[in-house]
Amino acid sequence: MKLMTVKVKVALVILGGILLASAIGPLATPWDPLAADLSRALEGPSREHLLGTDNIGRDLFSRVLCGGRQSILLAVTATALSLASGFVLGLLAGYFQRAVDVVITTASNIFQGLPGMTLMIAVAGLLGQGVKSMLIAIVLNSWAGFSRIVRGEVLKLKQESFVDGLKTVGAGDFRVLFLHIAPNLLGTLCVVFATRVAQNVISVASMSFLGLGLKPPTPDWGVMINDARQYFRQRPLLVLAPGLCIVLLSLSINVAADGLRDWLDMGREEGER
Amino acid sequence: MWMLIQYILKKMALLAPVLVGTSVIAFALGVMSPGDPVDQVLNPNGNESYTQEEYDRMSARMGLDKPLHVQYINWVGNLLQGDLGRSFFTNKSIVDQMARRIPISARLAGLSMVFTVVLGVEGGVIMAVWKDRFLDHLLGACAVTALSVPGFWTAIMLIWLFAEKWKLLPTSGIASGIGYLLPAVTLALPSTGVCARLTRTAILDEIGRQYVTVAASKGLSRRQTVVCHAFGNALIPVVTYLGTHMAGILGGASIVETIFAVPGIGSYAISAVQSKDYYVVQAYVLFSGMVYVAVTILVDLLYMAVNPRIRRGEAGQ
Repeated sequence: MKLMTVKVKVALVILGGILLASAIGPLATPWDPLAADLSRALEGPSREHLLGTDNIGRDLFSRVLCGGRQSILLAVTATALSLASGFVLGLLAGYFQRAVDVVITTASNIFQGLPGMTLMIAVAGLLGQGVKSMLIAIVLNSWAGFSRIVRGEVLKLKQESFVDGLKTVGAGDFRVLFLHIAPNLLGTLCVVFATRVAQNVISVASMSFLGLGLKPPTPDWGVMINDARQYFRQRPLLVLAPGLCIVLLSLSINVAADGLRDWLDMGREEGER
Repeated sequence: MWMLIQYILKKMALLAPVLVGTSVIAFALGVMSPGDPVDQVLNPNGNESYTQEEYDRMSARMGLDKPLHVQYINWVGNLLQGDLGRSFFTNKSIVDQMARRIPISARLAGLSMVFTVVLGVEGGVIMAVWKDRFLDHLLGACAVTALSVPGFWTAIMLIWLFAEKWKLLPTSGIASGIGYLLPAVTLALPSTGVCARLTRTAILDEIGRQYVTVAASKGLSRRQTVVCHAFGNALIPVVTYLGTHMAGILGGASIVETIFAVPGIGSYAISAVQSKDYYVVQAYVLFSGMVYVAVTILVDLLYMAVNPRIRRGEAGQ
């Protein structure tokens, strides 16, 4: 297996570009992304405003450049938190089984039983708009997926002879679990993490679009698309530009994750969508 | 037959905690939400005043003065009698509203499932047959793109192209049956991508097996080998995915329903969340959980139909 196919290289370049732009975005914008100028609303692309302006005259290019920061950060943080909690719970469920397993597995069944968007909308909607409720919503929605995969892997690894060997030489349960079984899961988890980040980028954008996520006037792709819906006929770029950014971001993460999966030779598509 | 019933009962027993858990979560979401339901009833416009006495009376009438566990039991009790309460704002019975909206969401979900199954499974089979050839790469790229596009953006693009630019289809609403087309396509797009990829991997997993090699060495073409031999055994993960997906879009097509103004369950939930109408949100969460449980049982039955080993093995115990 080649280390990297052309496809994966292209994806990594795009992903790197988006991340870099988001990192230095606020320093590099030609205009203040929040500065409105009603006299120049809904202008088309020009030399001054590279992509034109929105309905209250803010520079679209500057807003697009800054529009990924918050949602990327939010998607990655939320996924990392879900990974951490799902990882620990999955390890415990798979290793100790019996009562621990029953409790954790039942809980994860319950959370998987609620369709993702339902749960996130209900939680974010009832807790109020904002970063904190989005974090809670996404973690509640994605921990169970991680925990289920980790549990399955631990059940398989427990049968391996190295576990018996370690126990024979007197290693305790937690030592075996965290120092010897856990590291074997790294590859799988990286791939699942990446696919989940891609999904959560879309979730964050969808919630912001619904007005349950990041608050306007934050320059955010999801918020921008919602703001621009009425003016779409006049200036399609207002919806096209942020939309394409979201697509490119999640697409490049997905392709990179596929590459990683092939490289680790995991064969099967892991994790449910 | 008896074994079959036993098997189904066993599955239902496993799913009972899920149902109870869902109802607890649904109830808790309502309790934890900000905003005071008593205030919302007494003061729906935000400009009416009331005395503490009136407040207490209303609170008692709504059963909100009792401890939480009593409130929960009352709620479940009403639920079992088919009463989910009334919306704070429209004062319409929630059960009636749901009963009117569920068929609409079901039609939308069903149509979208047809697209997903037909295009996704066929796409997966073609990719597996032409593995590592041009067609595989092309469809693979389409599939990964399809699952990376957010539904709300697809919806806006489709409305723009088909309804506004070319004026072929209605922008929104389901006055005519054709109105279901765009929302169904929007919903089907990402799941078709996932389904195609799953089908491909599942078939390729089977292709290494001996019985497939035997079929191929008998001189069957690659397509015949894949479709007649590997396909049946590869179906399990695909059916599992399609099941969860179906449960998801039956209750969770909220964004697409909202954009296309489809008066289904999902758009009902969104408007309830936005107005903090928490009885409706509770009912919605509960409904989604119930759909999930029902679909899970159906998928299990499908497994038995697809795979004789499960039919004999598990049901016999």
